[in-house]
Amino acid sequence: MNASIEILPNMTCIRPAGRLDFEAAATFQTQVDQAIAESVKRSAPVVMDCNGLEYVSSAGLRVFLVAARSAKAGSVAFIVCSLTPSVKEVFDVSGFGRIIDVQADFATATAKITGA
Amino acid sequence: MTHSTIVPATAPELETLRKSLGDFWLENHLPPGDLMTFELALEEIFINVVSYGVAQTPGTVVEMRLSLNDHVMSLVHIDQGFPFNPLEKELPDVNAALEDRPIGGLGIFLVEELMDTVSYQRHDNKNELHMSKRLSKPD
Repeated sequence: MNASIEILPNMTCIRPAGRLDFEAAATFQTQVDQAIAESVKRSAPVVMDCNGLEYVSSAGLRVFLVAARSAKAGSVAFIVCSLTPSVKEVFDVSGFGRIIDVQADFATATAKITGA
Repeated sequence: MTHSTIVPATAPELETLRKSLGDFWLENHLPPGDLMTFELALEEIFINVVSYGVAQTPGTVVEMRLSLNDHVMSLVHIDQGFPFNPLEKELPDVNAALEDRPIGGLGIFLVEELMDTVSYQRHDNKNELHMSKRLSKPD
């Protein structure tokens, strides 16, 4: 898998793409940790746009859980959006949809941040 | 239609098993939407076994048996590790709050939820985890 991190004026956008399995999880975790630490410093919300994410296992879910906790501890919003159907199924079954803010698409996620 | 793949019990071999599963899927024209459930089950069980179950016994192998019967897909994961029934593990509280949510223990829970049946047998000094799911009908 690969992930891009986009630092925008009013938010940080993380875009993972491909397969987030046990092998990819450690590298992705490091990238996400850095992005959230940066975002906390400038008090900017974090959006994880999963439009390109095809697969996630429990090792991958763990990254989302740690990210949500770091963001909360740093008092910045953390929103996950654009889950593909199979990834959404794993989110739903694991109960992560109840502890992490999941939005249907990027527009809804950004609207929530800007309050528009 | 059955298929067996045997690999050394080391983490990088997950790729070999996944390839074998993907080939089985294509050859039998199975619905792509169900593939991820089986890929996930394979990863969760295999990685758990190679990380803990056979860690004390180097040089062992894992066998993956695939079979398709009247649109019910079965995956049997067989390892030579010490007796270990993953289904006896305590399941995570999926209703816990963000702060209280345990980091581990989610893998086997996902497998149990996403498969129709999951059962464990100790057989011939091997651990066998049987998983099956009725595949969705093509549109």
